[in-house]
Amino acid sequence: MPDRRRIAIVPARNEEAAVGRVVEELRAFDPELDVVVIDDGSTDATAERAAAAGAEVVRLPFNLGIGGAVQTGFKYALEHGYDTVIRLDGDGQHDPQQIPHLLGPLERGEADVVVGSRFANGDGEYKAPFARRAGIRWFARVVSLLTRQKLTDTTSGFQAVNARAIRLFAVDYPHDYPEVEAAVMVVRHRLRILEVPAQMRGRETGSSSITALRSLYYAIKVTLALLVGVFRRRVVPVEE
Amino acid sequence: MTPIYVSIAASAASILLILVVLELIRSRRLRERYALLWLATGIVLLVLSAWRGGLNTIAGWVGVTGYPPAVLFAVATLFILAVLLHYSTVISKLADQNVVLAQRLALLEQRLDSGRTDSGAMPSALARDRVEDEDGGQRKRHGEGEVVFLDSRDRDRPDRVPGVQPAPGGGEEAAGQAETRPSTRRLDE
Repeated sequence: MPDRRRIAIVPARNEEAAVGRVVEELRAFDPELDVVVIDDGSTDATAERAAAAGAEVVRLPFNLGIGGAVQTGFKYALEHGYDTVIRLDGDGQHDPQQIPHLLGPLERGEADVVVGSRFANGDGEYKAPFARRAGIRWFARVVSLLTRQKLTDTTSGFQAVNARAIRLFAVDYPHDYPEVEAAVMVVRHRLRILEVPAQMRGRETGSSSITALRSLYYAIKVTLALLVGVFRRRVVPVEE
Repeated sequence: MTPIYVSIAASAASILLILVVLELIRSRRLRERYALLWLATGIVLLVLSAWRGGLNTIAGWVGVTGYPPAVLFAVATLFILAVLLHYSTVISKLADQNVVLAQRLALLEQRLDSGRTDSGAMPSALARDRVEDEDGGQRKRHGEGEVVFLDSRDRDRPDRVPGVQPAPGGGEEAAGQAETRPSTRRLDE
């Protein structure tokens, strides 16, 4: 469907070594695909590298955190009339070649949010510190319980999102580990979320923003947010 | 030993604190990040209030022999200090970010204004202020009252000058001036 307007949202913070290649890969994958890099208060040349590689760049004046950065992307998509968002990280761990797997269910109308999961096909070996793996498993369990749907990779930032979900996320998007809360939010808003297997590469450069002690802090905080979130009033998405 | 009514009252107060914090999160008036310390306060106080033997033991440790509930006060005070200190750091960060935002906004506004002036449209109040800068800050300006800028600091802060409203209507006024004084527009470029 060539008349569909698609955009790739790439949040990046201090990813000067990787972001250029991410943008180039995206453009090589599909020259028609618009790319916007949300530079989340980087102190390095992330914005310049992204722009040089051919992306639109939105520079946040200071670090908003991943949730605020990604939501900036959704607002951009909404304001510019895109009806499909592909979200991937600026560190190069998401392979654009996998995008068709994410877009398939979206275009067949089977889901509003499609998540690329490292674990969905069972054989995903994922090397990460213990605390991180434990956190991922914990969230998978809590989120599966709350959504009454089996989800395995709730922290995955490799997603495809349709217009309905864009209108929701532009109004309300969680802060840290936004994907975890967003999964529950999506289901509460009677949108459909679907996981598809996606292979991911190891981080090429830079370091993950999450250390062991922070993992615990985030685990408690996000769990609190999830549980309280169940009792929250739903926001009203942007009108069509 | 702690009087039973003190334990009950303190437990009730702790539960109330926890419930209020949860309700504030639910209604989106409090972010989880800032609620965690309050929740920890509530939970620790609840445990110490309800677990009377524990409070006694801790009171023994710290040498409070006469009246164990004094430990409750001490713990509550410590937590409140921690919350306050945390908020001080949060406010400091917000203040810093506010500066960055204001600067960014001003720079963006300037860029938009100079773009509009180039294309022949009207400069806004911001552009006008810069025009007056070229005149050395002595020009009379007609607004809600006649204002003479004697001091360049006052000119930069029209809200400090009595009788001048900073924001509304300023743009229109600037537009009128720009049309009658086309030469000043060029100065701006």
